[in-house]
Amino acid sequence: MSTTSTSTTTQSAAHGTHDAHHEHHHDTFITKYIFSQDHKTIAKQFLVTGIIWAFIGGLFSVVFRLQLGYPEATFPILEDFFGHWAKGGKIQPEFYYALVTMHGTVLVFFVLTAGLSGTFANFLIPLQIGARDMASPFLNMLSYWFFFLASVVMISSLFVQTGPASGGWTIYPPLSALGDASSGSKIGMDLWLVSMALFVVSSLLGGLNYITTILNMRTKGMSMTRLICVQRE
Amino acid sequence: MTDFFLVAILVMIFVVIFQIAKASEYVSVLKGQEKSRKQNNRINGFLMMVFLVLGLIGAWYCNELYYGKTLFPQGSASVEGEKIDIMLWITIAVTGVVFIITQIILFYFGFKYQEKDNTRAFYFPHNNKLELLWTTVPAIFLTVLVAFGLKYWFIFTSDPPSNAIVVEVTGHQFGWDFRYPGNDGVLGKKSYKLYNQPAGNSLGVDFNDSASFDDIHLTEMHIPKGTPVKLVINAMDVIHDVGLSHFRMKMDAVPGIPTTMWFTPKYTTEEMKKITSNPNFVYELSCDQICGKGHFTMRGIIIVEEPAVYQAWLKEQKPEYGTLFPDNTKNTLTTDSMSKAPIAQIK
Amino acid sequence: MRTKGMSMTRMPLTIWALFFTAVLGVLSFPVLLSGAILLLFDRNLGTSFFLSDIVVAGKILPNEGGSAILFQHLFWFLGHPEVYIILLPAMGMSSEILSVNSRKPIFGYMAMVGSLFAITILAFLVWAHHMFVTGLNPLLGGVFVLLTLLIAVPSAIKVFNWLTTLWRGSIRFTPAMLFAIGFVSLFISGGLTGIFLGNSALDIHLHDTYFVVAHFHIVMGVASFFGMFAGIYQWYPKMFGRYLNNTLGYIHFWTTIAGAYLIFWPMHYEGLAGMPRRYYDFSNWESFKMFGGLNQFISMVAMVVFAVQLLFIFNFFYSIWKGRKVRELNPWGANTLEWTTPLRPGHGNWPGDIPEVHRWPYDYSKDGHDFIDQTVPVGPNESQH
Repeated sequence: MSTTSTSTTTQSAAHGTHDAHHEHHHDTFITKYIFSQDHKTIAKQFLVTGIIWAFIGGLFSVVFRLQLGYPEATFPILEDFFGHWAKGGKIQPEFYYALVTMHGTVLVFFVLTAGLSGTFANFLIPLQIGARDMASPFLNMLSYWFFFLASVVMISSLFVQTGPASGGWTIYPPLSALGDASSGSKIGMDLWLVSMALFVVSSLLGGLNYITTILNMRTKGMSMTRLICVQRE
Repeated sequence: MTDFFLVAILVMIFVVIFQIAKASEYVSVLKGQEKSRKQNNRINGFLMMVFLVLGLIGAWYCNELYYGKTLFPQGSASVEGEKIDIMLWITIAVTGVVFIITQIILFYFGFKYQEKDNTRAFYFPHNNKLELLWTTVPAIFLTVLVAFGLKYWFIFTSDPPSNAIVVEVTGHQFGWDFRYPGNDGVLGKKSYKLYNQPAGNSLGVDFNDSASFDDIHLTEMHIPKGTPVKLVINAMDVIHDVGLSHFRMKMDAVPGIPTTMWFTPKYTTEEMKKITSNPNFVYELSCDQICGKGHFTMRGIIIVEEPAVYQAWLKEQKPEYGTLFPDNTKNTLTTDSMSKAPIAQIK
Repeated sequence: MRTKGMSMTRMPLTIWALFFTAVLGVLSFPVLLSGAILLLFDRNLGTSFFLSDIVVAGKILPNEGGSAILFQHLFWFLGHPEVYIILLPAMGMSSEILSVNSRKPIFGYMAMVGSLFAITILAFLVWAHHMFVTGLNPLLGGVFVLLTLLIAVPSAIKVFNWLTTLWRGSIRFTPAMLFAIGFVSLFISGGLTGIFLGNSALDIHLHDTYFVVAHFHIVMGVASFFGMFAGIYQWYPKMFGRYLNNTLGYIHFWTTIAGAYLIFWPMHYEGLAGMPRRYYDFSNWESFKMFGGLNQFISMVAMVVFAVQLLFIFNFFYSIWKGRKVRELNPWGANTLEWTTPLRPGHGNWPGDIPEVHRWPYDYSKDGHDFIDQTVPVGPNESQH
């Protein structure tokens, strides 16, 4: 194969070289790794949180598939882990429905929305369009931490006495509105809704950032004819 | 103890796989990037074809195993449901052809166009003719599917024929109640506000409404073969769904919003036992909308009978009013009211 | 904030996909939020947005005038765009990865952008296909059938464009590429079963059965996941300066795709038999208990597939610290700008000026060059693409 004709930078990733654009600020551990406003770090935060949730949601599916695949069998070890939810080593119906609901919720929202969009939009958008960072690194940082908060609330719903939401991830009322219709529709459902409200805030903050960053034209010197030439595809 | 062993074996398998993976990484570094890449390409390119062939065989084998368990072989148990089976076949045919062709192309291209020495990829960024072709062809096929589908959809959702018998179905956590309109052919009014389970009125029937005097309340549905049946569907507490797989029918039961659905049974339960070679066959009504922890226990039984048998069965049923108010003079079990009311809609 | 020269039509398809995803999210999530808030009100403040005519646990509830169906409209107005929020990034990244690893431009760039746009618009217009059996007005149902099957057209265009991208390419099978190819296979399978469900007459029989479960798992649970894996394998070197272990990647791909098909393909048959979803136990059901053997098989395969994902998770975390170090700036020979940053990009991504862009990102195997990245100016005699 013939050689490529590219122009690549040859500078190494020397730690501590700052661009003239940024003020010279010194990052503490907290600002660099925890409340980072760097889109690449935020992306990794989303990715790792997403992977952890994927493990949890996948584990839920393994447990409820145990019931579906072996409806007659008992697994005493389940009672060791889950107590009265798996009385006698058999997954109870309420537990089954809680597992199914949380499997869907966790995977659809926390893994495939936050873990997929959150990771790759944050990582790739500035890098692939040629920007230093997102339009608002601060709101971006908030986007992750709202997601983290939503995760904390959702996890807490797993440990309440009456159990987490269990009316399917689609949580149709009246089932999800009435605590009398299902124990999962007691406090677990309120926590689910609060968690999702926080999640929506996170997604909106992220989405606005992505749109603004992509659209915000920085095309000084880009005349209309150059645009049209390029668009002849 | 066995749990511990199981976990230990699993961990060991993981460790072995990991060691192999680490070792093969070293090997590929030693071999050099170019050589390892070429070997990986050969192996994976080969696996593309293997997967394609095994996949197609698997799809065929799966069909052998499970086609018999679907509802196709026994056919639709309702006249209207036959159309659904026709639609399914048409859709399977169209999508099946597309499926086979595209999957073959995908994996074959993967195999055929793997990196080869002295061959460069072909710079082919766009071709408007091709784009037009594979925009219009799918659109045409989809239009055909939509046309058929909508034609049948409007039949199913239209009003039933005028000779349809009416049965009211009410879902609650966790069972089904059926109410027949009786000789007057009219269902008595009911309201959730009149619910009084301790007094025996679990449906909230208005027993001051004379139309309810001859209504029959059961937990098992009987219907005659060959006559359209219109189901009036209610729910007491949460959303349920009347799922009738054999009849290819389904409709949500929503509290506060009555729904309807109709169909004409083709086969009696006894006939189905022969058709399916299953002496235990029974038409089951499954709840098809999650409604709580007993969702999977909401099993309704539907018995389809020859018209004469159905008539005989119906005559034997006692109106709920009579059971709840045995001493009331408005008791419908007088020959007077029986002779006055026409035997409505039952042929 | 795009760099100089980066017009919208020079953006990689990944960015287009992420852009439309963000638009979908911004317009649809607020509706879910409103539904959630109204539900919180019904639950805690005695309102009746979704509740009416209810007797539960022996109690007659005072709520009147609400509609349970209203919630479904609010939910699915997000719910449907949500599945495209899940799908579009996977599509965008797969387009990118298929192109780079075939050394060919993605076929039909403008058609790809156009179909992303069409999918975005249509995603907002099809939500009630989740509600065909709620008793909605049949005419309304008919309209949603039309719109739903319309969305199959841009999806079909994308599939054919991906296939053509592979045609006469020079394919290198990295784990990322395998997952991208797997994505296309699964999107074909899952997308085709969507055609069954989008047709309301058929949905009557298939609604809330395992056919639906099979469909959305293949298209959302597996295809999108494959897009995610493809992205992780492709961009891991940029994220962490190390490579994921290749062999583990191959094992991960082949077992997962085989396992996924083994799990979800037979499920369609269960659905055709009318087997309801969200059932704890089928032992008492004469109509459904014959699938006991299949359910057991599916469960076994599911456990194996889950175990293999643990391998991946281990690979992911292990390689952050102990993975083979990346030595070259552009290990995949890609044209896009992220590969022009230093090996471990710091704050601000580029230590000096941000590179200017002069061409689209898909000049692979053009005019005798293996690849020409976006920062290379167009030559005086160079052909237009």
